[in-house]
Amino acid sequence: MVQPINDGVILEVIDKGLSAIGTNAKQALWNCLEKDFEFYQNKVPENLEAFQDALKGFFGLGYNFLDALFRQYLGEATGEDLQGYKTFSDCVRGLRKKA
Amino acid sequence: MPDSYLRLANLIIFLRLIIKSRCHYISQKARILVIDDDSSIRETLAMALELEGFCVDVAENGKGAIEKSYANFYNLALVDWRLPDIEGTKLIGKLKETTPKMVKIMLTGYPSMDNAIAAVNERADAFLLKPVDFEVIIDKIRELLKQQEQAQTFTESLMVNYIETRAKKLLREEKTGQLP
Repeated sequence: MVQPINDGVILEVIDKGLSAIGTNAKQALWNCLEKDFEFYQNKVPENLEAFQDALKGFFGLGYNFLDALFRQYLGEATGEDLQGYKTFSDCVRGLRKKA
Repeated sequence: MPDSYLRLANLIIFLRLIIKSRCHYISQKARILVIDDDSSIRETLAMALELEGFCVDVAENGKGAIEKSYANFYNLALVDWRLPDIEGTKLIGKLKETTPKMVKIMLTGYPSMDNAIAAVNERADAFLLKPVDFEVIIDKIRELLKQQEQAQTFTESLMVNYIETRAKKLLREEKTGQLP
């Protein structure tokens, strides 16, 4: 039985993945998302698709790199094999279903 | 081996363990990979660098260095010219694939024009001679790490500018209904 995935793990994984763009850039990204688009960090786990779309808006194809990082860190955090999933939100949906 | 040597070796290992455990918690310290097949040079360099406050890892050959660079991030690599399984210059080329921004310093006991040209062609950041002068090597490391940090800050500030500009553009597009 897979352990239910909690919001804290999802946020941690996203934060770790976004660190790839640098601490200041990550902070700037969260500021823009919150200030300009009213997209708050604590709302991310329940709106993963919207979050994914927002990041695609910022980074275009570059988002694929971040998505791969999110998936890798999620796999490490949960110990699950996530090879079969195409996107980070698919992974989270799959893990939620399994639990 | 005399007892005093053994005690000294144990003391060095003990000190390195203490420094390593401290490094684990101080992640902002620069991480250095020392690659040399001569264990005495490798361990002495590692010890000296750890005492200067760097987090140091060691590899005795090219294969070990490549494996370590895949598993961990290093700011800088000190590469011996002659390694048992690969030439130092070739290893620099391989390390560039795993960590492009890593600073690479070549160490050689056989200085020649050919060696220097090969190091420059493989984009080594510095070329230093053995026997190692610790003061020179540590000054060089600090200088190169400072340049690396400045380049990183510049890249990050470009990224911040990009994000802020992109956010404004997306907002404008949202207001004018141009978003897909």
